[in-house]
Amino acid sequence: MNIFTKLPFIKTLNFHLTLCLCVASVLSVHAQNTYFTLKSPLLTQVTFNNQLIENETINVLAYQYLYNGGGVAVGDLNNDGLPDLFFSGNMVSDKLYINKGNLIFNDITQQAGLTKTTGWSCGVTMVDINSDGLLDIYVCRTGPFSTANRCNKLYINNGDLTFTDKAKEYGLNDSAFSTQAAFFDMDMDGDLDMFLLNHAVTQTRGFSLQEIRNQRDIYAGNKLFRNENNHFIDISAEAGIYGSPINFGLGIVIGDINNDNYPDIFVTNDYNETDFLYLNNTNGTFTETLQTAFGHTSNFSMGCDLADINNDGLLDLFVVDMLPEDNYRQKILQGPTRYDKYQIAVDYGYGHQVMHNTLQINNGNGSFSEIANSAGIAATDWSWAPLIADFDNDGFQDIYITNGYRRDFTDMDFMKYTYADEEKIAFTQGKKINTLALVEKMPSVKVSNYMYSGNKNLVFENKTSSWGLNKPSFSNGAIYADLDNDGDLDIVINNINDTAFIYENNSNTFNNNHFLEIQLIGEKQNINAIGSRVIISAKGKTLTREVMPTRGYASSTEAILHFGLGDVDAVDLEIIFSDKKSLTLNNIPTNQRIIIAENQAQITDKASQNKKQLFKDESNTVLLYKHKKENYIDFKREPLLPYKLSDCGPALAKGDINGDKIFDIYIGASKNNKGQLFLGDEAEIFIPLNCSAISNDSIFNDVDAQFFDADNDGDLDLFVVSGGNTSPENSENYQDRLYINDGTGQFVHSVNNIPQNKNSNACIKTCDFDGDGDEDIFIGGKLIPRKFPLSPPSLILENQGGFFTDVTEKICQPLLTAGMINDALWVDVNQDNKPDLILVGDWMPIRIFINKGNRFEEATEQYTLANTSGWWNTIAAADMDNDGDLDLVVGNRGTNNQIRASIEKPVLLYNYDFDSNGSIDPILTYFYNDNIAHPYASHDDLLDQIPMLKKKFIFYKDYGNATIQTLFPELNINQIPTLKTEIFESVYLEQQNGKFILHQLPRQAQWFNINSILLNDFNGDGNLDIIAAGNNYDIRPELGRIDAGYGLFLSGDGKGNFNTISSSESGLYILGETKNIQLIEMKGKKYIIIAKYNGYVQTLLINN
Amino acid sequence: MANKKIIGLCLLLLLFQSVQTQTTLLNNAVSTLTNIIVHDVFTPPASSRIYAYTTVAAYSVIRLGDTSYASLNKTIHNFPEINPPENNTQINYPLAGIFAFYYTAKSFVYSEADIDNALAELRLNASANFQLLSEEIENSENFGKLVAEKIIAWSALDGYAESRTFPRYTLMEKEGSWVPTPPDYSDAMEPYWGKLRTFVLDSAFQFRVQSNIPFSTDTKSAFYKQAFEVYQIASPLSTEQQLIARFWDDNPFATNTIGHLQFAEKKISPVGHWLDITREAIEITETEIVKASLIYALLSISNADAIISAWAEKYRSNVLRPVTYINLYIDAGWLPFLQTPAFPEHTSGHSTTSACSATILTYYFGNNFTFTDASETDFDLPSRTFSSFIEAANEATNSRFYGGIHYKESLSSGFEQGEKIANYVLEEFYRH
Repeated sequence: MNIFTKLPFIKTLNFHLTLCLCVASVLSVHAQNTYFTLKSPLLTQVTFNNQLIENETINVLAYQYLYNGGGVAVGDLNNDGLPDLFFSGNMVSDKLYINKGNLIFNDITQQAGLTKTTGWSCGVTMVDINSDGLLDIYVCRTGPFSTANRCNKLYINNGDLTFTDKAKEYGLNDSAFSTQAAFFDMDMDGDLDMFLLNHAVTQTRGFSLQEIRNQRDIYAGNKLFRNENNHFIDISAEAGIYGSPINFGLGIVIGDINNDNYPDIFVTNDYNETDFLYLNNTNGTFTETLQTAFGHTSNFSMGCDLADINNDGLLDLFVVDMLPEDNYRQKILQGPTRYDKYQIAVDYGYGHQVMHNTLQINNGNGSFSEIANSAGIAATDWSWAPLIADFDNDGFQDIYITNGYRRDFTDMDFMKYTYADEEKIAFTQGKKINTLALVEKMPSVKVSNYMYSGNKNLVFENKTSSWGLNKPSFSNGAIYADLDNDGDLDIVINNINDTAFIYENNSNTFNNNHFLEIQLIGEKQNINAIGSRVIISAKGKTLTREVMPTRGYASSTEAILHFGLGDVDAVDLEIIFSDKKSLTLNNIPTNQRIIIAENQAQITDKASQNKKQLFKDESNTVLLYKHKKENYIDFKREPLLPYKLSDCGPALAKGDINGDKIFDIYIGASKNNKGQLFLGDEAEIFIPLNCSAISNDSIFNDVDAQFFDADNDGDLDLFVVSGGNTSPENSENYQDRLYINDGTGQFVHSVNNIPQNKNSNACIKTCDFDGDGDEDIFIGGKLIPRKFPLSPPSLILENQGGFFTDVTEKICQPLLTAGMINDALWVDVNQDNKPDLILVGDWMPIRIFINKGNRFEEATEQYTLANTSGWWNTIAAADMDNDGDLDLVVGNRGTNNQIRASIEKPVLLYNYDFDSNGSIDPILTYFYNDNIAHPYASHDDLLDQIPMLKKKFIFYKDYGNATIQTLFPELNINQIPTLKTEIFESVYLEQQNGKFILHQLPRQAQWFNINSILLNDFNGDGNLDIIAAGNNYDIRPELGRIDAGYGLFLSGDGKGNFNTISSSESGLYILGETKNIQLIEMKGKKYIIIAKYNGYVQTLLINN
Repeated sequence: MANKKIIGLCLLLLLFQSVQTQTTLLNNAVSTLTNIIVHDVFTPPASSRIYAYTTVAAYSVIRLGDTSYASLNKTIHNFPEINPPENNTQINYPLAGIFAFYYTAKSFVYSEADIDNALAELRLNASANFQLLSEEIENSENFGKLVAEKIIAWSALDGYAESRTFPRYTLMEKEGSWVPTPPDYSDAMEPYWGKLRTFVLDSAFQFRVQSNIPFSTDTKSAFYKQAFEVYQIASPLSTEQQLIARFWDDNPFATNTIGHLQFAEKKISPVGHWLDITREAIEITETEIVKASLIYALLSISNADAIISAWAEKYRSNVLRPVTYINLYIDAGWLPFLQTPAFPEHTSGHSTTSACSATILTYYFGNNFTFTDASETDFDLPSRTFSSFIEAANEATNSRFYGGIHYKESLSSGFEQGEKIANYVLEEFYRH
């Protein structure tokens, strides 16, 4: 106070203002440190607080969505150039604040006639419903109240900052339990229609209620209204919109998802029911396409946003869920893994749902790649509003996410113990348990919202603290807007039991990044041009935004588009108005707000360009074969497995078996199915060839195969590797087989020519390693069934006159303990004209064995590959950079996984029988965000495997911070056999002076596990390219399946650089789990044959 | 909370020493174990196993003080020899038996601290109320502990530990097979329980009961009819039927869901329920401790065998639960009044347990025995009075039908199985 009292005039100020100045001075210092500054309500005068006071009738037991909070709408209600704020209140009144400039606001709720005395407001949207140039306000009502108190409000702006509710006149006084509404022109008739997002209030408890999806519940189901002369008609049924009683709508976004200029709709659903993706049929109806578009979705889907997050001109989708980021909170909410429950839900039609945020990248061909884990944004706790925008104006989209829940409902200890203990105490005292009192005693943990900054690679960095946004809160709806007209986006957040947050963005004082703000003026009854798209081009970058105020959660932004532009001074603009008229403007200077009116635009019906694609699908005409998986759930026998081991195969081999100079094919089968030979034909098709020796051998799971001349008689024989995990150790079902060609393409099973090998193996690679003129064999050993992660020996079999002898111990002893091999290569790494051997596999580095003539010497370290332990699936070699030596391309697990690895923070796998019961308890640990390695397994899963821990870890909280050492304090953990993983990225290894330099493949290659790689000049530009494919569907359900891969075409430049060519451009589109690929030439045409686990073989013609 | 109750009881006993009997201490021990079993969430099969070993430990020691009571070693397979100590140490066998009970229990339960507290109370009680010398108490405890170790070592060979390493249940693909049920769709509970070592029976299938109603979706079929019967009785249940269903629910872990809020309500298991009825009968008749411990032991081992038998049949026949059938073929939205337990339907384990228990209790206390079952007042349900054990068992059996979790056929077949097992155990015990 001293500094003020020295100034005479201060004395005349009242106390409040003095305090204001105090705070201001403190904050202005603070403002210099971080991009964002939380403005004091004393300064802003925004004191709205969504205070909940629970009582006997209004409580979370009576109304399960009690803590869902309210929203924020922003818009310039008085056309003074400053955006004003509306907060929706649940138990408190809504509040309207007029922006007076400099982030100071004036509460005019009462004068405006907007004081709420009854009812429960949730979502709010500002929209100029009557296109009179004045924004109106639509408020959704829900809550534990009667229908009369749930009528939604349409506050028509009278022009003098007073409002009149005309919801009834407009037909919008719907009394459903409404979360939010979105206004858009669904049928391009020039006026705004409305989608109303609603929710049920009672839980359904069975999956069989899926049939109920087709019923219509007027209070719970979503609704679509068509605007007919400012009267809204419910057309849900005829438009194809579901409106069922199991609807729990929490998020809605609208935008042109398939780039056909018509708005599509995405809505989320909490609990079991799926989200819905409604594609606009352009005739006033919609088609729900969720499960064909998305491989998997969030389980408890909350708010969502739709925006072009990677600047490729396609709208991407982000949905938030409730998975916490840190180990402790994950451990106290995770119960046992339930494979059966998951599968039953899928069978009932609920799709693949997983509890984490999902980022669906739009592939432009109707498919999406879900990459939230790879992007690093999968776990942000109980989240509500995700907002995608460029908060630092660097030209890359960032993401702000609000979160928080008033009670810690996900605490398993409460679920399992606390309630029952308290109930028992009550009963023994002759009382009834007061569930409400108990719930009110539940811990409530405020966590801070998240801010992630983006870059060109779609890898997001957590900037919550460094940007000054780390104040813990229970936050719900939020919006961004440039409140102070300084060219960057400020953030406004509606909190439960806290004053609303207004974060001022000061990033413009830290960087000199440019921006452009665009306001569109539409025609007819859509004056704010909602649904219009603006595409900015500058410096090779293309940024796309759509005018769609409703986004995030229960909130709406301004109808003004904000572009961050880095150092760009001027841009070219293309505007496509919602009714297809378009306009192009060139060389528009940045750092300004421009207003563009539709009346300058013209109708240009852009014909879609049908460019010739490099890859053409010819599956139906070339080769017909379906691989069927064996129904076996490895996790039932080995509950701690990090991934399934039985999902291997099919084998795929090519070779001319009948000497007609046309490639023939062998495709392997799973156990109890028959492998199949196909003869290549003049007509460029493959015809099945019956071969009893092969079809009789159906007890094997064929995981790899190769045609080679085993007996040096000039024709190709066939070696098939048996593998998998479904049969017990040493089962006959694992015997590898050699089939001898009789010269005509018929085969006889030769039992005695190869040593008995009943190991579960992974691959065969042949090569004349000893230069004696015949082909020798390498067999890669994969696993010892049901003893993960133990592995059998890998072998070198020397060809001695058509008989194969195991010479491994003599010439390359380390192979006997080489690890869980997946793939191998015979290539001359060191250019001494002797083939060397490279091995890749799970939990091991890429290993190189140099051929020294009569023996092999490991040179992994020498080639600087010692720290490359990964889950490597496949390897290919070629001189990618045209420098005369061989480079390697190696497929790994990818980074689209909750489990992370690096050299400094490896994933460790403890390989030990901790409870001495005769079975290995493989405990996987990795470093969580506390920089400590914790076991991955949930409390229930680990204790199920090691029951002796049950006495020590009765409660989930006891296990919540456990490490491997605290689990087993009596053991010297350092002495326990351990495997590790240091890298999950798929890589390009450039050979340089006898070393391999590691380069990560482009980001898209990390979105899925790469199981198969082809290196060839596919596009005919003279440089080698890469085709990679993979995916992994049968996975631990809580981790979620890896389905983001649709095949990847990486165009090489001959210098070791690779450019990702999108699926929609190249035509390379490979659905499913690819296990093997072969390139085949027939009559001068190149085909790619793709063998998939549990699916049809796919054939692509290379069309160049 | 278990401890508070014990402390309360002990204080009460201190005030009214005349009521204090050794039997009361044994009854308290059984109740204490039940409370811990409820807290630690043991499944009905797992709790039946714990009751069997603990009560057998108690009886085997207590009978050493009254040799007119036979050893169990001829009745139970591979039963370890339990002999008095060779030197003439002063041992109070009833007390030692209760120590043996607690020490055996300690190895099975998770909340060991609760057992430690009970042991401390027992020592205090032995000196304060029974005026035993500290040396005698110590000797008794050491002997009880020694016997407990023998019983635990013997229990380790019953296949339970091995069954923990077996694969988790894989659902059958055959139509009509059991699948997990709403609301939680929990994994199949104890699919290998039928493979555990039986106590008295030759094998789990010695008293086999098979269903005579083949699966069918035909609306005229017997299977459809029995499912429709379940559907019909539930619409709606009378207040009395609801009360009965809840009274005998005995579900150790029923979940409640309100939005994202989940919490479980826990009740004693079926065997725990019947042990409480046993306690009531023992108290009414003021049965002396050695006989009381025999009744507890025989009831527990026959029930352990009954559950092994019922589980063997459940996973042999793999019959789907009414909720699954009704949802698929009658009414997609129907849910039973009780939460469906996570294992196949045929036979009704509760019917087996109830018939088995009632048969044992009838043998010792007679056919006309009026008692009030207050075991459920701890769970906010009014007590119920029965004029015979069989009456109670019949009601327990019917409760599964009212609850919508069993077809009628399984009630009678389970009941029949339970009676046969109990009679066989009694015959085997008294034959020797």
